[in-house]
Amino acid sequence: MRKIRIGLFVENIDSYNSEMIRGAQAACDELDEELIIFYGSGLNKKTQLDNPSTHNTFSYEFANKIGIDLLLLSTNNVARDMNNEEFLARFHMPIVSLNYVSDHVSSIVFDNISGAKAAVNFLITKEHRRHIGVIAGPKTRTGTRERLSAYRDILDFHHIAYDPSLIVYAQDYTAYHNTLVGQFIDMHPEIDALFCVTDKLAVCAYAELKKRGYRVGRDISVVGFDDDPYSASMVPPLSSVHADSAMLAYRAVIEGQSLLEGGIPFRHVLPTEFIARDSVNSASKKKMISIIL
Amino acid sequence: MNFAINEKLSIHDLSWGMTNFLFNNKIMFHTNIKDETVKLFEDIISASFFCDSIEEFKAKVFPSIINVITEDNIQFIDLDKLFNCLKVLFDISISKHLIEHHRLDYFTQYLYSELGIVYSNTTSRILTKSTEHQINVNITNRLSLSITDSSDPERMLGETLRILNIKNAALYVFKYPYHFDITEPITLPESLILKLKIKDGLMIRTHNELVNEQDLIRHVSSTHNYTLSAIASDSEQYGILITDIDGHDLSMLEYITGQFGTTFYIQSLMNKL
Repeated sequence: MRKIRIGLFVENIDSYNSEMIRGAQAACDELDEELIIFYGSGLNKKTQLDNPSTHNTFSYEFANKIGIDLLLLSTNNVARDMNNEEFLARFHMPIVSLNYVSDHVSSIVFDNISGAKAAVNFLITKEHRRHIGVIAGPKTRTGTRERLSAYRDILDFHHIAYDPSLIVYAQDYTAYHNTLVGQFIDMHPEIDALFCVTDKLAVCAYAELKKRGYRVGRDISVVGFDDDPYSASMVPPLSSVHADSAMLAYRAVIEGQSLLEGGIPFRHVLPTEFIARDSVNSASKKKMISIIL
Repeated sequence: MNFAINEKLSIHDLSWGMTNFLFNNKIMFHTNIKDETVKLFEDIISASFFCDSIEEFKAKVFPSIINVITEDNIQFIDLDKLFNCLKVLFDISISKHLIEHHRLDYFTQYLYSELGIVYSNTTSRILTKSTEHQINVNITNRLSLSITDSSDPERMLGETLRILNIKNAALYVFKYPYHFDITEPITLPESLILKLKIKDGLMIRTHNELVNEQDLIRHVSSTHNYTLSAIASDSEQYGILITDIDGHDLSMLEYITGQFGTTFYIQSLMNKL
């Protein structure tokens, strides 16, 4: 008898997706099901080879053809330029949407708001920062919108005026926005902390701050979101909101079993947790004290 | 070209005209690429007329290829247009009995090999992490893109996968490349051609059998996990590759599929000649 086939769409093999694959693989191993990873990649332009991982989503078209029983996809990432709902409607099997809430299919999402609130609250209460800049992603993405809304709520709570000029929007969440981030830092010398909506964006911030002689964790506090595997090894280690993409995919496979038996679509929210490391002043001070003691 | 023949343009003028066509009359800053390209065309034309032996032909033309097909230049060259120019030149040379087919074979094989090396080097520069695995990927990509026997590229691609220790894989191709745009509906064929199969580390000879889409996975032995990736260059889709690569080895798929796509693309250009 054929095993149940779980499909997972990934648009690249970055740390977030690698963890997601690891989680899905663990769940499939546990349930003795097959995992089929649809990988979208290809050269973008025939004469420009500077980005070999430019996305090519053709492989996803095969999901309807090869007998996938349950499909997991990070809709925001893999739908690319398409409307998320239109993209989801292309596939004719039970779906669990990861980190995007749809009215039509099941979803598992991170609690963006609690994690982002904890990070910004930490900057204000423990770090005593008042000029917190934000390096955000695309305005339309759920991750950006929810994390920004949490930022505003916490500023309001502490009676700090919201200044839209302290927010810069990158075109995506990757670590390739050094020019944009550098210009933003130059334009706002008053900034004493940076909230980056992904750890990859924090990588740009680190590079540009160091270039300008800032000591991250001392002159300026930096926090990220996602807690990518490399974040704890950055210099100094990056404080981040831990959002476990391995657990996201693991839960999607496990909870998705109910859909295979005709269950009704569900919505689940996964908790997130702020982890303070040396990129914030109070964390590095605490460490120094513990070393001295 | 007809205009050039009727007007009896000089070899230099004809070469200059083709070069401007190739570069859309654009000025190229900080590079001699246009001069080098003019010289390549001049050498091809004059070698077709005046070189008696293959060695003479090679000595005249091959250095010009090396000068044009470089890592710096490749980003400016529209290969489709370059191959169109070469095709026209060769068609005329053959129709006028100025050049023999086997000289053309030497030429295309050499050009293919140079393109392979340049693409491979470019990709290797993009690699940021030099893990042993990625170095292996790069070595094997160089192998796959330096195919001299372009009639059996699948065997070389299979070797590439085997060297990378991929135990089970199947490469399927479409009868004709598909143009794909995510925003437009696409009708996939009901069957694909099985070009290459690796089972338990051994390459299994295939006979271009047609495989129904619901059986595509069946040809790859794996206990649990599969990857399915498109083999493409730009919007041209040549086929799909299914492997049993484990989750933590997935990063090499980015390089394999990109390079395989380039191999198919270059091959399609070579076939035009």
